[in-house]
Amino acid sequence: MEYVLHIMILAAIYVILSVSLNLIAGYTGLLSIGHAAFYGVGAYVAALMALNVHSGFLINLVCAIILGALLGATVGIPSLRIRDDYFVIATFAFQIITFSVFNNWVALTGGPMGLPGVPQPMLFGLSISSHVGFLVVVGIVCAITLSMTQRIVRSPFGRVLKAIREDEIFAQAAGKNVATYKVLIFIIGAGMAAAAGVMHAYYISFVDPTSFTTMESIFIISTVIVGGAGSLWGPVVGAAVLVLLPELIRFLGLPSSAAADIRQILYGGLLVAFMMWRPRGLLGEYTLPGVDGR
Amino acid sequence: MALGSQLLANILYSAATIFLVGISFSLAFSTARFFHFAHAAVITTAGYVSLACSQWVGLSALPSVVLALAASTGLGWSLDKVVYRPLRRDGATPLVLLLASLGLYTVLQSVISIAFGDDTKVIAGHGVASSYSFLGARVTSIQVAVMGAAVAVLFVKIFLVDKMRIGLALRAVADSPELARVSGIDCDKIIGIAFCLGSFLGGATGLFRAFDVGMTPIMGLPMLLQGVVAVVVGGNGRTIGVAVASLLLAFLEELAGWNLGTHWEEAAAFLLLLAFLLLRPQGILGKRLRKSSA
Repeated sequence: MEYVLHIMILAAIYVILSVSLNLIAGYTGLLSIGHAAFYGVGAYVAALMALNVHSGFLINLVCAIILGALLGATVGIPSLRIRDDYFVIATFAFQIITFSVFNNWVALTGGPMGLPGVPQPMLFGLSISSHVGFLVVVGIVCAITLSMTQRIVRSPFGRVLKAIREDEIFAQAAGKNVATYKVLIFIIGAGMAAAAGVMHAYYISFVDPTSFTTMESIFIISTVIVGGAGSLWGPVVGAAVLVLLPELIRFLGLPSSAAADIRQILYGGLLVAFMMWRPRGLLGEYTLPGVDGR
Repeated sequence: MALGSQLLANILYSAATIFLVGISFSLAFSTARFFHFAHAAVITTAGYVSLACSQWVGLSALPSVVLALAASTGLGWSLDKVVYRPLRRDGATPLVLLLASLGLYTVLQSVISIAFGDDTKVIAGHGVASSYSFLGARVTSIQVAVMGAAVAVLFVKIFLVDKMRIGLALRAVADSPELARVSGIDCDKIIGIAFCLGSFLGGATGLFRAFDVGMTPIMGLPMLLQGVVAVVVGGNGRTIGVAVASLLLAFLEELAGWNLGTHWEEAAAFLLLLAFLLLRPQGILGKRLRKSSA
């Protein structure tokens, strides 16, 4: 039972990540290989505040979201000047620099040793220690993320995002301030990813750089693509499928040393397969950012 | 004096590696016009094939090197043939090709991890580790070979490849696939050749690295990324620019390593990349970026 709850908590965290990247990459068409960096910043901010300032769960959550969002703005601004694969390279550079800071600024982040002993969160006088309690908290954050996303994509704001994805020059010609929209969606998406990071930090109660690598960013992209970029529920399905599938493999009795590699082969292979045969993803209503002629 | 010349030797050696990887990457990047991320796995493959040939099969140095280079060339060519070419036929944009190559990289790297393990492997018994003293600097024969190869590639690229018919065809496909096609150039064939040349060169550089300091399944990625930085900073398709950028990057990394510690080298390289992407995206010598795909 603990195990089932554990998988559900993980799936919920990845749903937040997948849905928030989908806002940036799926709806607005700005592919980013830097999402794990926002995720990591959220986790580190929450862990550092809980360990050093001893501030409460909600305050840490808010601070992590604000810092993640600020960082999102700094990544969003280059998207105004550079586009397509050069922008992807820029987000990738951002991912590597952030990882380097997590890994090397030992005085602040503990370096490769990480930050152990993040205390259990306290909410309204209740200490949340059981798996059920965590699932409720993560579920609430996940639900808030989803309902915000639904509101955003169905609003006029969301329509402008799609217009930018389809034809940026046209959106500009229609009098939309494309720059503001791009930076705003990065702020929102990065803030959500930071919230997922806070969940990770409190749930695992340990933060270290290996959770926020380039591979993690690629994994988050895979959840969006497999589920269906640019659809509301696609990334939810994608995250659930990609978190659950490797767990099924666990029951095949393969050596645990190879488990991480098999997981990578699985989602890397799915990414290639979906690109080749079903670029819309499982539930996608649109083709991928920038795909035309299909 | 000894310190100065040792520093200079270090810079020249790492610049040579960066240059070789940069040119190998830019062959596909400028011709097929997408970020061939899986090139990192191609770079790594050569070292491991050589290891397998010499230690599992028991071949001597020369045949295993030849087989390793053939393997990386074949791998790069077949990735293009099996995955990228069908995608291009369907009108896939650079972003779709990039996503597919992220998946390919993930799969290939994990396969190498499962087959060989994650620890550092060295190719023993080839007797290539002899070192020379030159003006007080110690360099190994491998390092001399890398620097020689870089100079050779620089001249061959500028005075032969760029002047020959194939160089013209490569640039024609890079500039405008449609125009190249109507003038009777088989674009798929030219891109295939670019992948072969790039994978051969990338594999050779990976092999040099494996002989020099050993190999890990993830060694190709940082090598590729340095090459990418050099290509972007130097200007895509500008051989001299890439050479200048490689020297600049090697110097900057040595400087960062000297002042801040070697673990900050990577962050310094990517800050340079971000600065160039934002302030001078055409690179040191580049005239313009490729036409907007909008």
